[in-house]
Amino acid sequence: MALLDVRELFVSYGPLVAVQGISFQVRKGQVVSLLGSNGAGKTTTLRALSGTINLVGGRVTGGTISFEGEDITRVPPHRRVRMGISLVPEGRKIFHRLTVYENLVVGGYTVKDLEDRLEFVYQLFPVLRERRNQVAGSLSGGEQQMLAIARGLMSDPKLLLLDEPSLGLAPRIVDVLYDAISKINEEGTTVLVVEQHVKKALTHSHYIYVIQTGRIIASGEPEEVLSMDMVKAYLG
Amino acid sequence: MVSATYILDLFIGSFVLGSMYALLAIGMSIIYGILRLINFAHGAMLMVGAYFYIMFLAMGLDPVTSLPLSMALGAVLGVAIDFFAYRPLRGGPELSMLITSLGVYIFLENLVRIIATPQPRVFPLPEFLKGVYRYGDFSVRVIEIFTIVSTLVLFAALVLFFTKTKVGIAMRATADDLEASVLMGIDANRIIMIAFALASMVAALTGFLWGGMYGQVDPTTGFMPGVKAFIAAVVGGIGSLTGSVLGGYILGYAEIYSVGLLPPEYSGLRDGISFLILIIILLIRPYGLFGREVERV
Amino acid sequence: MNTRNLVIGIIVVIVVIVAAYFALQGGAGAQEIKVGALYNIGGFMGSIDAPAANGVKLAVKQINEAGGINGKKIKLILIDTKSDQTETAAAAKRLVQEGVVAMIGYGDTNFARIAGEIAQANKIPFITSGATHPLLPQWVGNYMFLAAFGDNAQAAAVAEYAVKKLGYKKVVVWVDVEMDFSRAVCTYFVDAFKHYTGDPNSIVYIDTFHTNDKDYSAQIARLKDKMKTEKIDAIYIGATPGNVGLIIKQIRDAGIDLPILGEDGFDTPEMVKVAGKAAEGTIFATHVSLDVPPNDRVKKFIEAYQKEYGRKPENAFAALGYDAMMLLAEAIKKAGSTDPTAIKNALEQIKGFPAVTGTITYSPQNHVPQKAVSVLQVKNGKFVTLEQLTPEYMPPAELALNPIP
Repeated sequence: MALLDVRELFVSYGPLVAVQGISFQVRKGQVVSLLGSNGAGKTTTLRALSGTINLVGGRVTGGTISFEGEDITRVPPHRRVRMGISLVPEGRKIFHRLTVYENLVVGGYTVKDLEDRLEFVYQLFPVLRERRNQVAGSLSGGEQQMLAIARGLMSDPKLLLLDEPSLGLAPRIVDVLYDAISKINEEGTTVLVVEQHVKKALTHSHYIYVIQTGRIIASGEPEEVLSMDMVKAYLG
Repeated sequence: MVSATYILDLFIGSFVLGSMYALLAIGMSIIYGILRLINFAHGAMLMVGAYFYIMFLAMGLDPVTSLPLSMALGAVLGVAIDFFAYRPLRGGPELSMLITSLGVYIFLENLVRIIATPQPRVFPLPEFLKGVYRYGDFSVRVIEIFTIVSTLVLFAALVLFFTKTKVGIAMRATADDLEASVLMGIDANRIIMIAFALASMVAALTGFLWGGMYGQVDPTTGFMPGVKAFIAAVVGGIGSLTGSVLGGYILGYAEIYSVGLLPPEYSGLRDGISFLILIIILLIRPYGLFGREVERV
Repeated sequence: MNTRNLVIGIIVVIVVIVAAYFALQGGAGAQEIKVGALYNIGGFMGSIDAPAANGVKLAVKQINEAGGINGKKIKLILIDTKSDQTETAAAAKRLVQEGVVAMIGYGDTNFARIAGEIAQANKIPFITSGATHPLLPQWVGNYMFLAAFGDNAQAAAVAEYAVKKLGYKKVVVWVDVEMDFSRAVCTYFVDAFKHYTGDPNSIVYIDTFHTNDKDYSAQIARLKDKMKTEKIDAIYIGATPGNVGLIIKQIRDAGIDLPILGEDGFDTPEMVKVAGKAAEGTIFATHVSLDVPPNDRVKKFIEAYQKEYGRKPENAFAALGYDAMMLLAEAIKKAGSTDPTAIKNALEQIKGFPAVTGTITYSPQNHVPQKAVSVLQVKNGKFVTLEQLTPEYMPPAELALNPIP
């Protein structure tokens, strides 16, 4: 049984149907990538999974989302976090006016033992320990992305959703991030990552879905997907 | 020539008035921070709080029980107003909530008018707050000291709450980015509820202080303090706790000192001066003194 | 019946009832004289206007029980304008629509002026029972009449009493810059006080405030400060019912025991209710002494009011309301007509009308009666008459054209 099972999902913003009946699965322990260009519906899909789609004026209009066999389509977003789904959103959305430490505390809002989780994320990203009393808004872009991922890990998720973690970052930082993602996965966390950055996704994923204008157009193992002509044409 | 006692008298007067503005401004800031709502109904919560206190006294309770009860009932009313008036509008344009809050103000004022009559009510101050300390020329009332001290204690307690407790930090996070806070497993509705409870409780306390200071309340009592608190919050940088308190004091000092130091025929300008300060500060710093820079509540 | 039909049915019933009500009202009009009354029963003027409205109602009842005027009963249309000036204008227009032959109302100049302008524009006489600004008829026009004495009379009376009986030489004046009444009465007081003391420097200084101010700490601090360097005998305050108790209480709370002087805005139970013990000793002017009735008219009025409402008149405004209505009845009787202009002309011919609050005489040139002023003092929470006097010196009404501050 898949950890996450999405079937025939439709998402609309008013009259605009942004996601048009996509279905995909994420197996426990895997890193799965959702590839696609701008406006393909990747972020919308993640928002539907996290449940925050309603906050931005959208709505799930059809289909189901199941997590560990349970239908969570109508579960409010904050409860999904308690169930074990954590989204690191596009544009990081760290709490700029809070310190690094406070960001992490809020990330661990749902867990009892904060110290354990803090130790875990500090080991993953040692720079955050150094900067823990700094206001988050003053961090560099790469550090902010690390903080966003660390914050997402504070709730000890079973499934970590990452929305374009490499966006706008220097290649060296992207390497650090993806090493961390692999490490997180090795520790047992399942990861669903949305990317435009094809190379990184290919080398770090177990399975890939390609999405175009709200539909899945291809799926398979990384090498398999990349060999498809239409995918080459689409992703460049 | 102005004497030292005169300046000291003005100082105490400003401190007291500023404290009450600050308390109201804190509540407005907390709510604004999280909901982006300028809650015009907040002034009415001061008035309603004072009436609650009078009501509990009339039921035969002693002042020491009546005050916390009136604050608790104020908190319940605040939460109820959010639930019935604002929650249905969430996700809609911010303007509709703003207009609704004006409606809530008018509703509360008129409701009290119907229930308690429009006539001013005597506000009975408890015995232990009635005294006056005298040092030669200078005198200060116990209620004045009580007002100043309770404001400072409450401010310190709120700062601790917002920086040291998980719920407090979560409230600041929600104010910073509501969507992101939901992603952390925070129930935004619960945070908003706490914000309204906290703000309304403080407003009810302010109502007690206001009534005690000036001796009477009527259904319109909350209006001007509400407007002044709004100015204080904006001057300080709406959403900032420290800014709101500072804004409250700036306004209190400006009002009293402008009356006290300008020639007497200009005393009537005090409200005009409040607005003048607002305009000047917004021209220099559009986000207020502490806007966007320090902690947001 | 489905919901839609039910709703339509209810609407039809309501429309029929409303229509029938208005039809009946119109039909009964021929045998009645419609008189309009405007008072702020709600809001900060309530403690003055509610008793005045009761006085009007009492007068209407007595007139109708005695068979009406020239065989016609009076139908009083009383509107509560809740101390809101916008409601005042709307209510006055409504009375015009209703076709009233005259209007009575208000214990404050601002409100009387707003309603009076509308009455004047429609050539309907307006008798203000309690407004005291002597320039009101000049501002509004020849359809405006005062039932009370002018502010120059009451200010001069207090000034005369303070100087001659109490020997005061230096006073401070606090004026409410928002109220025409307060500015006028303080202007007259300043003039009269200087006249009686013969000292142009007898006013130490003048301070200002706003009607809705709640905090007077800065003005009080200044007063305390001045008291250290100057000899001050008393403070005269142009307060109104909504703030008089508040101001007196705060002055006393600050430990100032200076005698406080005031005008008929002090004649409200609210003063003692809010200020409590702090109000003790306060001296103010008003329209009649209810504690020691100077004649049978006052005595009879007090008894009738007590019988009707189960309590003594709250203040002199009750008597003024009663007087205004009786005065109007007299004019209608004299005019022998319910034509508003005929009533106005008859009012101008009133000579020596024996009212509860004194004798009223009008002329086409003068719509402000000259009456004796009662000077009262708060003693043990009650209003006690110190003296009834007609001031020797009357400040010219025109002074208020350039009011202080």
